[in-house]
Amino acid sequence: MEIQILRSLADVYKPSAELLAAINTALFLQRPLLLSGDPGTGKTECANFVARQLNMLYPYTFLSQKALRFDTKSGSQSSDLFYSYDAVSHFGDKTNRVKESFISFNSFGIALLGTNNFDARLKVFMNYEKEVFNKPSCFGSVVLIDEIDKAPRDFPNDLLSELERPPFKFTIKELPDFTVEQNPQFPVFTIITSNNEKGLPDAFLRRCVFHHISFPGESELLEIVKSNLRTDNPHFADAIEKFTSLRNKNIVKKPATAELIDWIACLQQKRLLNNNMANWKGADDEYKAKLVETLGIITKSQADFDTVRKEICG
Amino acid sequence: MDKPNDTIIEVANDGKEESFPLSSFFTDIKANGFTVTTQQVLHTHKVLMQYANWVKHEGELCNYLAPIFAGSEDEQVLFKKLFYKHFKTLPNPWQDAQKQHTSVEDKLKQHWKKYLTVYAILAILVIALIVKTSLYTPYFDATGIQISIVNKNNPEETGTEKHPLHVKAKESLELITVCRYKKTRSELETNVVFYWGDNSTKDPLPSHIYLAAGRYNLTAYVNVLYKNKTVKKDTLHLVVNVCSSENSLTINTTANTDQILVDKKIQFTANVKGSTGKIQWWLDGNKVRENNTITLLFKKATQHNLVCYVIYDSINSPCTLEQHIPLIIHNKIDTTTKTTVLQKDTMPAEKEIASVVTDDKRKRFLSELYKVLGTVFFLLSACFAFLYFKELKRVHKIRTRVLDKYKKLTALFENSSKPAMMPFKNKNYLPVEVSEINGITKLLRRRVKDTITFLHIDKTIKRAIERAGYFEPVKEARTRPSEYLILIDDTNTNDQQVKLFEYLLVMLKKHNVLVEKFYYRDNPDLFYNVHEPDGLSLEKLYAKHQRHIILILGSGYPFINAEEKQFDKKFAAALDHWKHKAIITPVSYLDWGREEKNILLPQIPVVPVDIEGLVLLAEMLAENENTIHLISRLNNCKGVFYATQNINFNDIETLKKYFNIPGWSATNEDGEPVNVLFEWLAALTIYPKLRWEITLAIGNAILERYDMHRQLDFTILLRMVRISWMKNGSIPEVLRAELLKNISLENEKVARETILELLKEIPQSEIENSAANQHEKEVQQIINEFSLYANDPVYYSAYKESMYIFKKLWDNNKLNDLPTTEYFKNPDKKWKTLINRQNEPSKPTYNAGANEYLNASEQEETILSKVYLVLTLISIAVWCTSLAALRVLYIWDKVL
Repeated sequence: MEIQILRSLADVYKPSAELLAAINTALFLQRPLLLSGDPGTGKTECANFVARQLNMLYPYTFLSQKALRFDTKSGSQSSDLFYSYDAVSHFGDKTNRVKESFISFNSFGIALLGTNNFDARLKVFMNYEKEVFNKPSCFGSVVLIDEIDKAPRDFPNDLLSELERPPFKFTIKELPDFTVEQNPQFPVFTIITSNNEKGLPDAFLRRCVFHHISFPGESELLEIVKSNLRTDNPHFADAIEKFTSLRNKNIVKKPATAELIDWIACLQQKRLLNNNMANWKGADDEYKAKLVETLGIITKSQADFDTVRKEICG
Repeated sequence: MDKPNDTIIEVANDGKEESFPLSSFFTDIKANGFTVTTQQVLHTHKVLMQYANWVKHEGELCNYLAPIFAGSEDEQVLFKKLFYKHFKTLPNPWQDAQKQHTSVEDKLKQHWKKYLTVYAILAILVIALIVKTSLYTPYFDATGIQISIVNKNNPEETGTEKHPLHVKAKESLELITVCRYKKTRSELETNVVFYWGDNSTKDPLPSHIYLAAGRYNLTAYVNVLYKNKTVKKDTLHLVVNVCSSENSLTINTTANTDQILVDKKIQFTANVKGSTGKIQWWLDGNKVRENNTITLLFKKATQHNLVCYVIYDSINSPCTLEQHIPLIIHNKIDTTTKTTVLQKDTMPAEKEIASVVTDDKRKRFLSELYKVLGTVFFLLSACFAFLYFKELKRVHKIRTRVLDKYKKLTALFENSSKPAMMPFKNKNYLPVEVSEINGITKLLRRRVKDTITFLHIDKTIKRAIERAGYFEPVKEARTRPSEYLILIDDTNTNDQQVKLFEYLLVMLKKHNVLVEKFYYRDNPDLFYNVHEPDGLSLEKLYAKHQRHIILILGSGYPFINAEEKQFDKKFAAALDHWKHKAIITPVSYLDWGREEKNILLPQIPVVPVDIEGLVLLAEMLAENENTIHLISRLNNCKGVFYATQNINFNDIETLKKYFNIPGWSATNEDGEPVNVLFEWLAALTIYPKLRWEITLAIGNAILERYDMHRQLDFTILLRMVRISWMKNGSIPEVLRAELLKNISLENEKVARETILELLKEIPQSEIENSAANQHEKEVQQIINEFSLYANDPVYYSAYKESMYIFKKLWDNNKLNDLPTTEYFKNPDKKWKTLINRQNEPSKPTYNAGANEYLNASEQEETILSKVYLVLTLISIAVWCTSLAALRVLYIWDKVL
């Protein structure tokens, strides 16, 4: 089945033309989409955006408006993507339950199981009934593997074979005869995010479709803010201009889009989005003091806070 | 502009030559460090087939292809750059429009003399045509020619059908044909044939004798001739009344008429022979009697005039007989007799004849011609006048804009407090990775055992099962990747060696080597980075980074106690805390002296920063080698090192020798030997400051010209930064001037284009806070754009405005860059610059100094408005001539 999002339907998330092209390339080639970019540039939200769009465009294939999320940890292994086996609970179990009841499926496992017909025998697994069995029909999914660069170096290498080409499949090594294979009629689209903290192996990169999300320009930021806050305010543009200007100051931890949205929401709530925003150096002390109170949202260190406060208060 | 090597979608099934689609592009990106696998190629083709018809233009396909090949942000940027560079024909509306707009004006400017001469000649010809047709070729209106026939014996008598001519029978009637053309006075000939109406034959003679009295219809066939050419034919119909010739009047008196006495009667009797008419007597103009006889008595002595008329039809008819009798009245009888004289009018002088030629068709044609010419030249003059005012406005606008920009620039210069670093975009992705880096980083990344242990659950369960449920926890030591604390010697501001070290760290980070960097300046008491702007001492560093391997990137000389000539004990003690440590020195192994061999080496391992040195370091750290072993291994590969200590880097020839690397750096261009590395170095002097990003970008661009961009790697960059002034961070002014003169023009163009690209990449928001940066950016942009424009004003027409601003800066000595100023001045044309002049379009260009070029270009700037003005005036002249000719044609009707 060929799926693509040639035009973004109405959504709070506003992808750039480049990102939309990358999403389509990945969907068309049935390859995982690897997104990199500074924290807060919308990598994670992109996965939910794709899920929403696919749900709207192909409602009988993609049932969920949310991506199945796998949060990578420093100790993650490739099998964690599919399932978790609670060996300690099993060890301490006194009721003599079967091993399957200590196994829960994780995002990719749920995605693959969701492509197949319901199997009542699998209800014995910890979360099968809740995550798969209760769904009205088979479904395709968007899987988000978040912050893969947090994982050990072996993790992406181990994923090579798992994410090679659809149909994907997995086995549970604790259950020798258990194998789940994807039904190709229901696509599973994988989005992997990275904060660039660590390089990824070349072999892994070659299997992915890559896109770096750059920090948006002021006009794009305005659109993002408007759609996220679901409102418009003539002073949004002033606030964005100030934010961009502050971001370009000599501050170490540069705030991203997410911080901007929170900051503007806070400014709006505190009624600071007024004419003073365009020229805050000329504003009265009370306004400045209130503004300084909001700086915690966009600055992440004392040094940065001091730099920005100095900029405002002179 | 180069032609693209291939199109985005090539159809290879033409049966002639099958080329693999995008193959040259793949070769291109491969040469720039991208991996191109078969699968990626297949994916590309699939994507092209899928989206080629969907995208708005081919350039948009880049967005679909970049995700297939890029693996990092840098690669994404580089891919897009290569894509647009490769497919140069992709739409660039702005540039095309700009070029089209300027090419017409430039063409006119270049050939203005030719165009103006042609137009002037054309105008003169048109004026001559108008003048000739209106002044020297007569033209007439046939209706304006008036023909009349008059009686020669009575010139006031003009014959028509209503006003008959009068003549006596048997007397000769002589006629004159009068031809007039309105007010003109030239003589026109007539050829008349008369039909007299008395059964006589047609006769060309203008006289005829009617034999019998009566009323006759006379017809005159008139041909009007001009220069023996008939210009009008007309037929006149006249009526002739012929009177009888036998009628006569005699007056008999009773006394002599000149001797009439007062109070004495005198009688006059009229005797008429022939037919009898009505007799009237008129005295002094008053009718006094109608009878045959009249008797008069005078009371005073005076003179009177008595007239006797015999009237047949009217008193004015020539048939009327009349006799004038002058009467002289005396008081006494005068013996003197006066004879009665009957006065007769003499014939009037022959009237002048106006001759006219008419040609209606010709007049209509000329009228239309003048109207067309008048309209065309009116429109042309309006058009040229519009262009003239537009050009004036444009020049004024440019001047205002240039002045504004100049004022802004000078204000920026005056406000710039201290020079700041221009925030160029990072270019560390440009160098090609050396192949050894994989091996080096693999060794550096090795995992080491940690002191921390953890409970291994799987093994614990396994052991518990093995031991029949007996719980025995299994603890295992954690392993962790090696971590490095890098201390960089940043004593010299803008030290290019520091930039190379930073590039090295980027490479290591890219290969997942965990590094934390700090900088030290002058004295290594404190170490700084962005997180620790106040600095940390070695002790504090140790407290925070105990498990790290400490690597000092620098010569290590600051750790030497200058007085004691030995490793500073304080630093030695602090460094001793770390188990693994080393100095990576930029000093070439062959230049190692007492400091390295006798002071540093006994205390800490020292390796040169060359790739061979890094390999040795990685192996040493992996195998815990000692320094003695290190020295022997360095000696084994002594051949790869080169000395720099005694090289005079301020001498051009020495620099050329330094970069003469056998095998590749020397090449030929247009038959001339070229040292590519020297060209690169010389090109760096175009920008007044040494900047790492510029070094990389220009190096990449110049090496690419010679298809050597794979040579841009760590090794060659190290050779570059080992130049003494590279380490110092600034080029000596004298050397810079000399290097500028030595760069080849093609490479200079490439370098200036590269610098412009770098400057344009800087977001305005990043420099708006620094007046110095803004000033530097603007001035450099202007200088480089001017140079390129002066070299090829057609290709670089978009940079024209920079030429004006440059002129302003040049005239006011505001460039503040002596080597560049000297280079551009080029007073005796001793060296070649990009500034080209061309006196005439057909003549070849020649190298010119900036003064000559700028003065000429100022004149050229106003030439267009002058040309338009002259064209307007010429057009107005032709238009006015046309109007005048029309006026002559219709109102004056041409006085001959």
